[in-house]
Formats: sequence, C-alpha cells, structure tokens
Amino acid sequence: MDLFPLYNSLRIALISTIITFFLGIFAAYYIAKAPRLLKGILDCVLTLPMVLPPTVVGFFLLVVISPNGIIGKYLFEWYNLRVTMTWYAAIFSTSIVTFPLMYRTARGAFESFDKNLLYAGQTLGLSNIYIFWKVIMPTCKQGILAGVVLSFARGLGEYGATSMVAGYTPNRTATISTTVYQLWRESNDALAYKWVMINLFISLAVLLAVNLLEKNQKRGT
Amino acid sequence: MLEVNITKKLKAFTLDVNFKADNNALALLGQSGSGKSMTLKCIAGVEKPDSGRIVLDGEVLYDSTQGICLSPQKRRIGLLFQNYALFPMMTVLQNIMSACHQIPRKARKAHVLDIMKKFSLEGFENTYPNKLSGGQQQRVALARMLAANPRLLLFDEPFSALDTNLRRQLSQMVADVLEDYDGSAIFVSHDCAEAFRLCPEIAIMENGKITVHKDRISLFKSPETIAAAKLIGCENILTVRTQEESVIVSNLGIIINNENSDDITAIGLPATAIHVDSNGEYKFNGNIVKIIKSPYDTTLVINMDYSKYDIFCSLPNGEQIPEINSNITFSFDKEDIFFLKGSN
Repeated sequence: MDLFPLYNSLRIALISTIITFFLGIFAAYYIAKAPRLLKGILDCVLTLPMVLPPTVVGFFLLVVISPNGIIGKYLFEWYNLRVTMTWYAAIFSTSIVTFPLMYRTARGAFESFDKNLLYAGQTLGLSNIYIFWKVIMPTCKQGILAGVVLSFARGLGEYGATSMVAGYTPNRTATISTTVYQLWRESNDALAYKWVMINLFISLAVLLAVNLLEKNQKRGT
Repeated sequence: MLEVNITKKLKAFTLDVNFKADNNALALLGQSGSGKSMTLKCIAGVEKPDSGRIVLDGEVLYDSTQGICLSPQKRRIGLLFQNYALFPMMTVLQNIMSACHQIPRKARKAHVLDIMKKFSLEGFENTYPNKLSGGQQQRVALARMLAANPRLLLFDEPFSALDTNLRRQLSQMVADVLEDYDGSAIFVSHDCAEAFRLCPEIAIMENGKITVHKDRISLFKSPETIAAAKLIGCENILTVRTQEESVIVSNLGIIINNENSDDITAIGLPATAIHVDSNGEYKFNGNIVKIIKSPYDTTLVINMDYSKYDIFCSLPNGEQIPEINSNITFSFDKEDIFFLKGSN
C-alpha cells in the first residue's frame, strides 16, 4: 500500500497548524484588545471560513492564486510559477479553513485571562514579550493547545477547498481524504476501507487528546 | 513626593483627581466605583489618563502637554491587587524571583530567600499559588512587589478578600513594611478603620473627585462632607435646611444656631453622641422600636412620629437600657455633631 497520502496529509496539516498557530494567536491577542466595533467586524471576517462551504473558500482561493488569478497571474508571468495543483497549494486552503478554530479558541483563552496579571508583570518591570511568553501563554496554555489539536484534526480532514486548489494527483497532491474519494470512484472498496480506518484512528486519537486537555484544565490552575 | 493632577473620562463619570502625597502614607477612601482603582492604575502607568500630569520625586512620569508617558516598566511603581495577581504557572520562588531581574543572576536566589524569610514564607518555595490560602498569597504578592525595589507603593484594597483575622495580621504586616519604607505609599480602601490604622492622611473620593483631604485625626473630628461622614461610619445623617444663621433639622424638630451655615446640607449625628437623658443642649422625643445587642454596645433604634427616618443611638454595655416601645427624651450637644456639605 502506497503511504504517500498519509505522509502528504500529515505534512500539510502540520505546516498549516504551525502557520495558524502564529497567525491565530497574533490575531486573537490583538483583537481581544480592540475596541468593540472593530472587534465585531474583524471577528466576523476571520470566522467566515469556518461557516462557509469549503468549496466557496476554494473558489476564492482560485480567484487569487490560479494562473489567471489576482496574484497568481504575476507569479506565473514573472517566475513561471504555478501555485495551484501542487501539494503546497493545499497549505493555503488548509490554513484558511483551520484558522478560525485556532483564532476562536485562543481568543476565548485571552479574553478570560486576568488583566491584573498583565498589570502586575508590567509594574514589576517585566518586558511585554516576557509577560506574553512566560505569563500569558502558560496561563492560557490549555485553551491554546486545544485550538492547536482541533486545527490539526481539521487540517487532516480538509477536502473541499484542497481538492479545488491542489486536485488529486497520485504521489504529488493526494491526501487521505482525496484518496478515499478517488478510491470510491474507482470502486476499490478494499483499499478505501483501509484509508477510512486510518482516518478513523487518527480522528479518535485527536478527540481523546482534546478530552484529556479539557480534563486537565478542570483539575489544574 | 508624588504629585498627581489627571483627568480621564470613564463610563459613569469623569475622573478628575488632584493631590500631593509626601512620604506619609495616604489613604484614598471611597465607595466602590468612585474611581480609586483607576487613579492607582493611572499612576502605575497601566492605564493612560486623558490629560494632566504625574510627577514622582521630581521625575515627570506623565505629562499630556509635553507628550510624556513613561511605560509602567520604567516607572518602577509597585502595585498590590485585591486578587493578589500571582502568576499561576510559577511557584512562589519563581513568582518572587521574576521581580528581581535587576539583581545579578548569582545573587538572586539568596536575595529572594531573604525576602521570603522576612514574610514568613519559608518552606513554600516550590508551592504553586493555588495551593496557598488567601493570606499566604497576599504575603507572596507583597514580597514580590517589594523585591522589585519600587519607588512608590500602591495598594488596591489589598485585604478585601480576606476574613477579619487575616485582615488584621496582614494589615500589621503592611504597617511594618510602611514603617521601614522611605517612599510614598497610597492605600485604596473603603474601610475607614483600616485606612486610619495605616495612613496618617486620608483623602475622600466621590464620583471621581477628591472632596476632602486632611490628616486622619481631623477627618474624624470633622468629616466636612456627607460622603466622608458615611465613610467614617457616622450612623445618623439628616438632611437640613438653612436659614441665615440657623440650621433647621426638621426630622428632629430642632433648630441649631450656627454661623456660616450657607452650604450646609446635612448634619451627622454619631450614635454615640446621643444621650438617653435631657442634659444635652438639643432635645428630641422618640419611641424605641428596636434594641440591638452586640458584644460591646447596645444600639437603640428610635422612631419619631413625624419622621420616616430611624435614628440610631448606641450605649456602652453596662449602662441601663430603657425599655422597648417607651417614649423617651434624648439629647445631644452641638460640639458632638458634624455640619456637612455635599449631596447624598
């Protein structure tokens, strides 16, 4: 059995999770502090990918990065670079789809953070960067970790937007979810079952991790 | 020496405080929501005023006209919170050590252990804050604040979350700290007795403004405003009308002669100032509708036919207590009452 789809899915999910980790936390941290109106608007825009059908996200992405797209056009003209239908095109789609999960869980964690801890740190002369990494992040650790795990899980299962921008090319862009679809179309049920089982196993492991994190959260702090 | 003159628009009112504090501790006394905490936050630099000026020992910390606003890190002002604000994911030792970054790394631990000893925190080095009692947590917070070597100490209702016994112990500890400390200190509270114990000077805050600022003895002798009288625990505050040189207390049916009574709006009548006899200068009759006993004194609740307000009179235990429902003549002397300005 060719394990390329597993490897490809894992690397896409992993890289996307790293990207959304930083972007999501950055957005969450600043939006949690923003004035109410701005917060409301930005919140809607940033959460949109969670409620939109993934095909709509894929459509917008193609409008931007396809060789005729707003940015893709220049990449193609200047560097002869074709971003779509490559394995890393899936990183774009997966990052966008998983971003709201990371952003919303992190924002919830930041909003419930006791501001007096920040003030105490500042009056003690601690730098804002120190306070962020040594006080705020450890205190919000569980919420943020839950966001990471959820993003990773969602990233592994991403299908709609990914199939539009990365397509299905065996050994190049195939992921677990696109492979399952392809195998079903080819009526290769035996192999499809194997991938379905792998998928089930990974999803269960992720949910178990999230539950354990939540339990720790109740017990700790 | 601290000089504060700032304004900041808040939801319910505009904060507009103006005061000076020398090296004596100053208490900011007021009801919750009167702007005390916000004043401290502006001084510490974690909140920014809209305009004004803050100067500490000659150094300008904030000046809106010159565009100066030092970061809280540069101000080196200690701030102690009601909820302790200890870093939950750090041990007691790490919490205190985090404040000692200006001390060379090698000397740091010895320095911290020394401070911990001073605050009887030995043995708690590796304990996390959530395993400590409220009193212990506040001791850690106090130790941590002092470890940063601040130039000014700010206390934001530090004992409000503690029970009476711990409160007394900690307030004694803070009193010791203040005695050794040679900078200014500001102590925010709504508890007058606590403020009196710790601070030689008391300022009363009402709706974002300081209305009275004087030394503690004279504050208790003459509170000046209704808010101040309430805060020092004056039981009976009666609104009055004035007419030339006389103050008309219609609730008691009494007219008191007093010069300069123009802006007087109420009188304060401490429960202990009322005598259960007719020997005082001013007399009134009333029914005793309730008798409340407590360990040290007995409170009589007096009702008058022509007033909807009850008057409270307190007698030290041991004195003869009149019978309930009896109609008695009470009296008081002019020198024992307060003439008050301001509104309710």
